[in-house]
Amino acid sequence: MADLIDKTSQLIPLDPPVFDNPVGLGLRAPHYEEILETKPDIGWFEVHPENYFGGGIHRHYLGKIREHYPLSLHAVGLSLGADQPVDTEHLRQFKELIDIFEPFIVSDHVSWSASGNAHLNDLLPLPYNRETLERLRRNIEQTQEYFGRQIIVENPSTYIAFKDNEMSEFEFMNLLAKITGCGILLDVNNIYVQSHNHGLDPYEYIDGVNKNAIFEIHLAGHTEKTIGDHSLLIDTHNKEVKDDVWDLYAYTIKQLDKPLTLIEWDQDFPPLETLLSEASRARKILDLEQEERHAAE
Amino acid sequence: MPLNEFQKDFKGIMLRPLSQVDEAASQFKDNFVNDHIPVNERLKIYHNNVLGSLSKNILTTYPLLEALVGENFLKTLAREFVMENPPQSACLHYYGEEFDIFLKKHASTQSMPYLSDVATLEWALHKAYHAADDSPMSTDDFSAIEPDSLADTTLTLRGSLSLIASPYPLQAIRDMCLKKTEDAPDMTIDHNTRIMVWRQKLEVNILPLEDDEFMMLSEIKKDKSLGEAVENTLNAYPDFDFAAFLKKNIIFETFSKAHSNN
Repeated sequence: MADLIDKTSQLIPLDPPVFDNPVGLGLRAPHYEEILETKPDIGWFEVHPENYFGGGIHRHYLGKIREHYPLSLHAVGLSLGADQPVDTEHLRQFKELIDIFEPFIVSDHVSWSASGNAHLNDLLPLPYNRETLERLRRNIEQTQEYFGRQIIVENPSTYIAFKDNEMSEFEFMNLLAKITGCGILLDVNNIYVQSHNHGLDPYEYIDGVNKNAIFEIHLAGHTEKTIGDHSLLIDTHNKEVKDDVWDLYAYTIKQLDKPLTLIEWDQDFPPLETLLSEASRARKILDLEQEERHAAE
Repeated sequence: MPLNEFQKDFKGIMLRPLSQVDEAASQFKDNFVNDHIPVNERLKIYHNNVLGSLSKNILTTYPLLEALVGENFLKTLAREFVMENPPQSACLHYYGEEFDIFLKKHASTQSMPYLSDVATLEWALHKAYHAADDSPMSTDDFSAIEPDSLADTTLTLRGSLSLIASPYPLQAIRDMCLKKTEDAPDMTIDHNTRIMVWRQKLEVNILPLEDDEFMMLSEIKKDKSLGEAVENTLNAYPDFDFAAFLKKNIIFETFSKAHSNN
């Protein structure tokens, strides 16, 4: 892959903003009213832009909440890994939201969901090879050019592995960042899920991924599904973050400088208090790491 | 396997019934790592995610149907709908509009012909909730129209607005599903339901209409000029009172703009 062009030198480095509280929450409809009433101590919110296309009541609430908090737009529908260009109507509606809500970052996933005109509403797996890299490069560049800004892309949870993978996932993510200038949204839970499902070492992944490209971290809960004598972990986003994932997070942030961290929860919504408790746990781990660094100086 | 071919084949598996996934998985035996967990079991995770999330989206859009036929039956219908009509956009609040047509044709719902009209009502509620904001015409906006040009003026209905005609008592069915009443409405007679669904600020409203009002709004929706719309409505309903109609619809903020054809 030595012939690949390094785009990072041609683009302005993606520097995460510094917030008083680096921990954010995924914003979901059941919590709109309570957030507006209580204005909880949370650094920022993240939403799926697709939920706000067109307009309507959701967009009204997003506007109100945006008056008080920074916002990240985290897409699930660009289908960057599909072997077809990104849908221009999707880009148009997405850009409309970017212009209105001025998010500090825009992201999507290293996956695909559309084939032809059908959108399957899932983050589907990709082989990590040269052909996929080239397709992702074209679609990420199409998106970045349309938006006039760099995006960040998230490592997925997968349940199958391709025989013709030419590299590991973290090597693939590193190359993608290098050739497109995009940043990495590192989902630590996905790395844990991925490693369990394919017999890999999650700590090796953390050591191998390019820290300079990481803009944001995601944390979420997963579910274990037993199959015969074995199990698969499913990235369900409907539970608290598991202790093993917290441990992996604590290890990850040792190699980063107080990274922006998001708690995601996308179904079976708990009370807002539960999400704030998860966010508080992330903040404590970040603060502890800072204290240890100061003590070591 | 080329990426395009893989994605087409994978999509094909996702949109099949679960019972066919095992057999379909064999076509990927050379592509995926087959270890202690067989490929077909791994593919079923995706299959369940795809059909599960999309059919759940249908159930979320159609809660009255779920109350009428039960979660399991609706889920079965929704899965079938998803397999035949996958979303054409990644924005899922555009998804499921044709579910009423699907129900009308489906063999298992022929004994419940009202289901399709309930689905039409639910889609109208859903559409009103997600519709883009548009400003309503005010009394002043109407006053600004020259009296001489009123007959040639075309009005635009609010983007959130739907008009529904049905022989079934849709509001009574809704009240029953929402447990506002335990009385089951009589489905055997023609209730001649005429309703309007639309949004005012953050409120989605349902309003029963008289036959003449319904026809007038339908004519306006067809982009007929006010003169032609009134004439057609008066031909069908000689007692139609245009002034009262206009006053009522200004209060309910039914129109978004006027266009003079002069």
